[in-house]
Amino acid sequence: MMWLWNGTALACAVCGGQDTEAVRQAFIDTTIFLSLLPLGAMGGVGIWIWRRSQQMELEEAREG
Amino acid sequence: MAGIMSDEAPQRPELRLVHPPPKARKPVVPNQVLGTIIFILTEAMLFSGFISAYAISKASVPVWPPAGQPRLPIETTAVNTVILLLSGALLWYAGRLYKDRPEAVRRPLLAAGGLGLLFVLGQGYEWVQLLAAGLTLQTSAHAGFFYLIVGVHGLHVLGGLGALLLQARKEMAGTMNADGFWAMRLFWYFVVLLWPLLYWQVYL
Repeated sequence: MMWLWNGTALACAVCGGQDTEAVRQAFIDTTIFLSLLPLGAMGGVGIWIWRRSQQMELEEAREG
Repeated sequence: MAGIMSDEAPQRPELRLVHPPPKARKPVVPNQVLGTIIFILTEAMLFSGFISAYAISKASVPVWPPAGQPRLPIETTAVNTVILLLSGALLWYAGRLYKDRPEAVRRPLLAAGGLGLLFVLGQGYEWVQLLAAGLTLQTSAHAGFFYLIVGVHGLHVLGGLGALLLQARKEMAGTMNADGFWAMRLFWYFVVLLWPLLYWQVYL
């Protein structure tokens, strides 16, 4: 929708507004959030796969 | 001597396997599930981008939502949120049942789908009401974000609903497999658990 009607959808985050402390803080918060989220998500998935692998190996060893 | 000159092929000793053939190892994460996880991660980044842009826009103006525009229906959407959460809980229950009693999955699966459909219809009705009240994409940045974020989430719910109904159909035909069911459940949990966060950010 934004791509097709970008002229009419007034939802650009950086095109206007006030340059205040609140905006500065919002930029810092969202930068931290967007930087850490992919790292956390990939790390979480990696740990989950590793733990699952360990668990499956244990089960296989138990079954013989 | 006669044995040496014979045309008969020499007898080969019988081959016996001393060790059993190695068992084919189950994949740690089935392909369907891994693919769904990667897709969910990309979608999580998409929604994170929306939420971040929304947060910055919100901080950029003194009054949010802007005065004079139709109010978002917080109460009815709260009911809708509960409906979607119930749908997720029912699917979780269906997943638990599948391990021990796969034949009992059908009812909670269809009920979860029904609640998901109810959520989509509720959101659609809300959009019709808001558009009739004059809230459009052009009304304000808040309205633009509202339609964008809620609309994209709605599309994800519709996609998840399609996958859910496909699994229900497979279950009825007796062709449902554990990996596909797991992958579908993961996507539905993502859609369900994302919604309260969006509701909190956009409506409250």
